[in-house]
Amino acid sequence: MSSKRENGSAPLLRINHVKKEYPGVVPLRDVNLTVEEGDVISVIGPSGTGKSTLLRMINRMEEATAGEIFFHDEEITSPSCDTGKLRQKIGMIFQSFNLFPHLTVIENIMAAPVALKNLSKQEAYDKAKALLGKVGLVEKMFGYPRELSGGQQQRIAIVRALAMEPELLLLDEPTSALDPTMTGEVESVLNQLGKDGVTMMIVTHSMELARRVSSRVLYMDEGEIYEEGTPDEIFTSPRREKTRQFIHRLKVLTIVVEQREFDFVGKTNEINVFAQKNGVPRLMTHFLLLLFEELVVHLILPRIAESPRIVWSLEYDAKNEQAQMSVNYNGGVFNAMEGGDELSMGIIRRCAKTVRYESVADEKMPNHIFATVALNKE
Amino acid sequence: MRAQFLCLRMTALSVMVFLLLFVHDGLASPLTTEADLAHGRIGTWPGSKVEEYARKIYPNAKFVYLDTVADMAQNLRQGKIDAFAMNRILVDELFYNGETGMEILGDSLGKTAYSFVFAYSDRGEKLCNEFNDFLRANRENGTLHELQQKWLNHEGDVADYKPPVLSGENGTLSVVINPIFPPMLFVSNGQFAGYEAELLARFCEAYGYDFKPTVATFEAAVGGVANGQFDIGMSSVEYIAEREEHVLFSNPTCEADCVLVVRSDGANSAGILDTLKKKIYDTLIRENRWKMLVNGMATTLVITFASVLLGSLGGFFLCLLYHEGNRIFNSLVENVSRFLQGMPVVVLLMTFYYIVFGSSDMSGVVVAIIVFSLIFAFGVFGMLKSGADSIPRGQTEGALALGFSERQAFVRFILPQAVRIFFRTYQTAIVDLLKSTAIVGYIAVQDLTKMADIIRARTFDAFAPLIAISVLYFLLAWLLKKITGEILIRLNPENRTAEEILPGVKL
Repeated sequence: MSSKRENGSAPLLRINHVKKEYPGVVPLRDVNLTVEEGDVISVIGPSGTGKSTLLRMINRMEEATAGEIFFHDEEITSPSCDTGKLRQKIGMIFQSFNLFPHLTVIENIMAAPVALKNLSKQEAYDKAKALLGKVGLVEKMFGYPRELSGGQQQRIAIVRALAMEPELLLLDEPTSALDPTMTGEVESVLNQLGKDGVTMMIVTHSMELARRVSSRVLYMDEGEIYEEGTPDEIFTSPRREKTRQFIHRLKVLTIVVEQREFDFVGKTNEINVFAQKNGVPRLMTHFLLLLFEELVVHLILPRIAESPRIVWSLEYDAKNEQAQMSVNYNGGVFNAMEGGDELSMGIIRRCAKTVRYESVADEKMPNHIFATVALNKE
Repeated sequence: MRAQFLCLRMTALSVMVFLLLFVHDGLASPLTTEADLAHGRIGTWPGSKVEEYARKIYPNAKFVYLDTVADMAQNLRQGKIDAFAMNRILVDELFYNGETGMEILGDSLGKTAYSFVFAYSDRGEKLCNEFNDFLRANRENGTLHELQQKWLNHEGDVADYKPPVLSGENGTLSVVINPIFPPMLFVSNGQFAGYEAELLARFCEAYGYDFKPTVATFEAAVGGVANGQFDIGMSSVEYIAEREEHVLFSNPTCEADCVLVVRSDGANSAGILDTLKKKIYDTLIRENRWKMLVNGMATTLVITFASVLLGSLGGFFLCLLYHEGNRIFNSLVENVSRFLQGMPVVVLLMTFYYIVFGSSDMSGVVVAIIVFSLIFAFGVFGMLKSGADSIPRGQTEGALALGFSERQAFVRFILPQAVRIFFRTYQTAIVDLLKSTAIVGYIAVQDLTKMADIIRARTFDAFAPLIAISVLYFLLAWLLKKITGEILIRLNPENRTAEEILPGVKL
């Protein structure tokens, strides 16, 4: 199963300029992807970027608005495609398991092979038992789904899909509904499947899962595959900005001030709300508010003669509890922190871990002040 | 188990209380003067001669319409009416039956006559002529007088009346009968008896007919007689000019005075226990009336079981077809469902019996089964549909993802889950169905309730028959609950052994 295709034969799956449009929303703009046999692909990215939609289009649970998808050489986006036959070859695992609660574990697994592949009950049973052995759940054979833990249920769901001997396994958030103590057992199973050469495409929020089991990682954003690479490439040295922000779980807030009498209370409230939403520690929020007030209100604004424009932005790295603050402003080249009020400067030095000024070759906004805020000052 | 016993004991207790309330009929004080009646309440039949006479004398009285003499007597006893106007023949039977708390007020109000009725058609007119010839001949040879003496004046023994065996060589007459008018027409020892019953039997004998009786009220069936669905309408049918516009009247079979009956001082002196004994004896033992109740119960059960069976199957198929998603079919189903829900069952029954199947000679039981199956099918459809709707979409997706089609997913995985959700409601629906069959008397079916009516008309007592059928309905409901509950336990897939789950598989 794991052997790479020989030159000339078609890849397992080819996605060509696929687009998905709902009234008023376009979650997928233009997606292109080739999946080879043996690939274990993790798809990560922010919510609402159409990761699950993409996955569900591959087994025709959703229809593409435009573009084509080929499974081997067959165009599965065409209306003449036999979806029943297709789905027998492409298994799917759901976040909520979707085991049939009125059937025993063994009946859940045997139903499809007996009904759809004309296996005898004995054949289906032997096979189901072997697969149950692989995931360590043989003794649950005559149990009902509700008697099993979430992790066990998901392992059964995987066995149920594997019993159809699919050429591709689609996994839609397989560990998201599990409590953290149970994700490990499912991850191990997936890891083993990957080693056995099962081709998988996993949509997940769990970067640990993506890192542990996949051979390729796709970062989806802006309706397309924004960046692709090995787990190492994506998780340790992402090339593109949004990928980096996502990987480091960065949260960004931008505030623009263009009037001398701007809405100070409103803007500080925005910072407060952002801080609360992203779990910024209280003391750090306090520091950020002070920095905003001292830099923007007391040091920069008074020294811009007319039509001021100040862009204050904040990047919060939840993983390291660290905030990056930058202020861009106009009014000719000047360092607002030089010759400024001593009291203000004192406050700034106390709140920021590092702070520096930089002028850039931009006529409109030549001045940059960067500050880092962290609580564990060394 | 203990809870069940407690429950039964509580039920028994409430039945006892109910019983005591009924035994104590609550006799109202006598009111006998004609002056008091001027603004009193008078029970009678709507549009009858007796009403016409009574209205002339008491134009300001309030008239209350009741069905049978038994009902009128019960109402009078309890003071709900102050008098009832009725023909002397039926009233005498009340006194003959031992009623001592009432008396006839004053003289006869006027005369009325009773006839058989026929359709205005060639066949109807031929039958009517034959019947008139039969009446004339029997009046002349004294047979008619003899019959009147025997049945109406109780001269001679009628207890072992045996109707003649009919050859039917000239065909079978379809006759609509309402046997709640002793001594004219009633049920005795499980067969039709009374003056009119013997008249009919003798007529059929003389002219080589057999007859097929259909039990219904004349008011409900008059249309059936007019359009030829029934050959003869009878059971104390009074001659009224307006009726003659619709149906053909024979010459009178007998005449009677119309009288007013009021309460008297001669209250029943028997003790409560003796009264109760007599009531129970009259209702159950006398003339083997318990057999009527058993027959009625069988009819009720046949209708219930057949409707549950057919209705469940129908509901299942409706649900399957509905799931196919054909727009026209689905909107049809939804509209029919809405229509059925909005119709009183009794109206539906009568519509089907007298209009939809009016021209066929389908029996009331069959029509009742059709109507109740229909209602039950849509009930089951609704239950299954809401059950299926409550199954998460993920279940269907799980099946689809394995390669099952939408239909397979629905039949194999969604419906079985829906059935388990709806089973409790289903049990209740079956008991509801049992109870709602109590109205099939309207379409000529002699079910448990109708049998109680017939007995009630004979014994002039509401208490014992009603108690008897209450107990029987309660037992039937309990039995049905038990049976369905047992099925639920038997069918529970979680009680299966490994061998039952995987038959023929070597584990």
